[in-house]
Amino acid sequence: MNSFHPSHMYRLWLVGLGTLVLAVLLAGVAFAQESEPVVVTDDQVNAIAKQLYCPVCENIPLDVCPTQACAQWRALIAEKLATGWSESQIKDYFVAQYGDRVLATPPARGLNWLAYVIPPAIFLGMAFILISAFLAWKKPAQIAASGITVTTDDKYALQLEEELKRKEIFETEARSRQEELSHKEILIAEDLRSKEELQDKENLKYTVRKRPVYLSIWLLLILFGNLFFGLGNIIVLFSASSISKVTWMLFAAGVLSLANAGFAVAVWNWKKWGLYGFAISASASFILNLYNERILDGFLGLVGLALMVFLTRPIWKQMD
Amino acid sequence: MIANFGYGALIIALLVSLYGIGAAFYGVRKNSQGWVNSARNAMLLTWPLVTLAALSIIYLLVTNHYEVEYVSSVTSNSMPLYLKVTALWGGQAGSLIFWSWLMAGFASAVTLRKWDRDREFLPWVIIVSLVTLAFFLALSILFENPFERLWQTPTGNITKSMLMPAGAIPFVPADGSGLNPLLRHPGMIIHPPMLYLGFVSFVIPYAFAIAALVTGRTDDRWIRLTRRWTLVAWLFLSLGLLLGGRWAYDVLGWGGYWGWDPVEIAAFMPWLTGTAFLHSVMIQEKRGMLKHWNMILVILTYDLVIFGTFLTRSGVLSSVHAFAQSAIGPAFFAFIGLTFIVSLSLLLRRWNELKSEAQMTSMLSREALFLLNNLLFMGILVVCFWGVLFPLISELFTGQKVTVGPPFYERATAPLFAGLLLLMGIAPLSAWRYTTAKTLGRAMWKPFIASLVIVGISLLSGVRSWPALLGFWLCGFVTAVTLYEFWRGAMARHRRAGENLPLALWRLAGRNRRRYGGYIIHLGVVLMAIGIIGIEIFQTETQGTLQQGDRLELGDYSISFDSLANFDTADGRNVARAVVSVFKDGNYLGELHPRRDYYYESQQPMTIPGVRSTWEDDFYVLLVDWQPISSAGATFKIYHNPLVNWLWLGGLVFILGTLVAAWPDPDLEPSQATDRREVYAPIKA
Repeated sequence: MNSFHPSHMYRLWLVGLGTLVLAVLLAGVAFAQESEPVVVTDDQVNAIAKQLYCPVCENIPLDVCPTQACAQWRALIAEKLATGWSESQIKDYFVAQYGDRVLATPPARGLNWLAYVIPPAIFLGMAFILISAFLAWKKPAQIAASGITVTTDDKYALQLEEELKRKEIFETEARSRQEELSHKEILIAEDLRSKEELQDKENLKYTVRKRPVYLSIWLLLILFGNLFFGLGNIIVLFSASSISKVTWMLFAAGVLSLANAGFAVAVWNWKKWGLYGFAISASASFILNLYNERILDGFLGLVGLALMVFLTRPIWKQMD
Repeated sequence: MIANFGYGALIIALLVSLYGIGAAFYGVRKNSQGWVNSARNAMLLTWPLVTLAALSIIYLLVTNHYEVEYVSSVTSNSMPLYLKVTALWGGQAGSLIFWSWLMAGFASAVTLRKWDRDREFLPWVIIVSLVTLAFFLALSILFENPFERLWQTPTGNITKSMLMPAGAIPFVPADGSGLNPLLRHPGMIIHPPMLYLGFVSFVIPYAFAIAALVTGRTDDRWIRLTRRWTLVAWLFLSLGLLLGGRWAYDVLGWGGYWGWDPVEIAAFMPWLTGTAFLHSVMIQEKRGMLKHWNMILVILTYDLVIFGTFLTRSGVLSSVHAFAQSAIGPAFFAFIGLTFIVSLSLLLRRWNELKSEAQMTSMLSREALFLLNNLLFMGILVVCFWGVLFPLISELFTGQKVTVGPPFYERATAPLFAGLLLLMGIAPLSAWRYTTAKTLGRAMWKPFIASLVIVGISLLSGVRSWPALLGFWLCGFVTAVTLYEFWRGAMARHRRAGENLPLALWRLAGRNRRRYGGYIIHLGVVLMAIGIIGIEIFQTETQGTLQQGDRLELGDYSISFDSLANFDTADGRNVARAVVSVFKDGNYLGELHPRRDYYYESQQPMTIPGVRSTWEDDFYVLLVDWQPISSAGATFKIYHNPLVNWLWLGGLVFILGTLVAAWPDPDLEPSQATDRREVYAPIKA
């Protein structure tokens, strides 16, 4: 390790001081203990070795690795145990010597949080999709239960029927309590009344807003990509030891990424400001990239924005 | 000479594949059966060509042509003939050829089937298979050429290349470095071919899925056509995984069968999506639902197959930076990306045509429970995928490597596996379309009560660990439900047709092989689960250094160290073989011979355990170390692995069930053809 984390330095200093004080205070006792060797069993060594991985033999725990190097490591553990080190001290020692990779699982700090956060997040996301699909599937059944006979599978005809049904209800309701209806729905209803049935398709879009599949995919990509890089950047930042131009850039990029994730959610929820937000953040990152002489990346960001504009164009009018 | 011959065969095979792709495209475009037939002939020609290439390698291996780099890296003079032949898949370059050979064989077998009613699928199945084959052939020809020879340049360096570098002279080593000792085991000889068979046969359902998407024949015809292929692919993949586990247990010497190693997971991931697919296709067949999801699953399976090969073949696992060093990594990456994007865009193009024909009406219906099963499989997949990927990401972002080891996977997947077991108990009792808690409860209470008996027995025999109790209960529940299903079916036949019970049972399973084969597979999984619970929760171990005559105790067992012999063998090993006596409760049970083989050529040690196996437990002794001069003292590690044999028994039952489900059934084919979905309107050209 070429750069020591400040907290490590601190700990080492403490350990050093503690040892010194202990040595002075307990010199006599230590002397007495030295004459009785501590017996270390193989099982004690293996209990610790089981949790460690040497950097050479990939994915083989230390307690069963047959190589000479691993035998030496086990001998080292026995030695440390004999001098009274605790299990966590020994593990820390190996981590300090060879890095986090000697541990069986990544320690939950810095970027490693992602190792533990992402799988449950994706699993919950999938469970959510499944549950909402369950609920969506139930709806047509409920419609059937309410007395409408659905004779066709054609989605458009179904929507039309649904819309006509709604229009009927609307007209009867409107006569009695027109003031309770939102301004927008009145407009739609007037539209419906004024136009031919064949043109209803256009109107349907106002009430049954349907996001194009490509846009949905693009938004999900943007959301997860930006969340990933944003969180990644910021986590890397927190584990950085000093502040430099690079950390500031990381920070800015991280914030912009997180903002983009937010904008993606906004566009998903039919908010126009999401797209405006994209335009602003894309311009900001363009300038940032130019400043860092990463011209290609800058233009790629703009291409992303253009794609977003292109994909939202068909539904732009329906957005609030 | 032979090397050039083999290399030439490979190049011709690639050219023929490319021609086939072009001819099939042109045939579709011009609506010309002649061109499609020509493409089919090209497809059929690739297999003999790749066979020639593979035979050339085998010839070179068997005749010790060490001037060929591959031969000198995987064989040696001391190796027996059968190992020299199997060295074909003992190294990177050879195993890629083996992959291509199996792929060409499978694809040819598919094109030989009768295509009468599915003629419009043919060109696209050919195209998908040939694109995959061409990719692997190109990898062999450009990056991992097994026919490259060794040369000594004027400066004295040894290089390898196909053509003689300027001024170089051929270099012929006197002996090769021999096959990796870990691979010199019967389990390892058949394990890779099984895995590869599983891998390549999953290409077939994918090819049909893509054909269905391209042609717009988006009913479930493609599923019916590939049902057996999928089961066969799954069978081989399961067999490959099981054999791998058994091999690890017998050879790797760490007392386990599965280490959550990225290489293992690479093969496990397509198995997960494949298993999810096998379940969810049933919903499409029965209810016309989930058409999108099935497409996604088959696309995922295909790309995970390629991804698995990529993980194990590009060296990316040892370091992200190995990825950039060889062109093979980026090539794989590009191919995975390309096939994934193309497949998904095809799916999106047909998205609206793949609408469900029915709605989900009940949360407890069979189809809803199958979806839940899919969710759990996907959950396990995500954990595995992320666990394999995360160290690479970490190295890329922070430069620091981390280990994602067994504790990570075990903690994350154990509840998911338990959920799958529970579903395995509930779903068979649930009806299609509509099931209420009441009807399900009525079907379930008898098996449930029966399963509590298992918990009682476990408690009486001293099991106090609650995960183990839960696990055993789940196993008991699934067993009870499955046997109950067999019983109900057999009794119905017995009452109706007056058949005696065994006959009724036999005919019942024969009538609906897929269903009852599936139940047998479930029983196999239960047996495996018992073994896994036994070894994961109750494994104990100890280690100690013994002088001759000393004893080492572990629970009721103990061993005494009798003697140790150290000798060289004719095939280039140094063997240290210990003799230990095993006692249980003080009674002598017999001798075990744990040993350590040291291979001089490859300078690798191998630890072969001495194992005493019973249905109750395995007593597993490893020779860890010894004092060479006196041979008086030696260090042993002993494991007590309760119930582990149930795992292997379960594996056998599992395979048996798959065979029952996949066995060709000529009588049923015509009746299936009259299914409502088979009567199909003319297809647009």
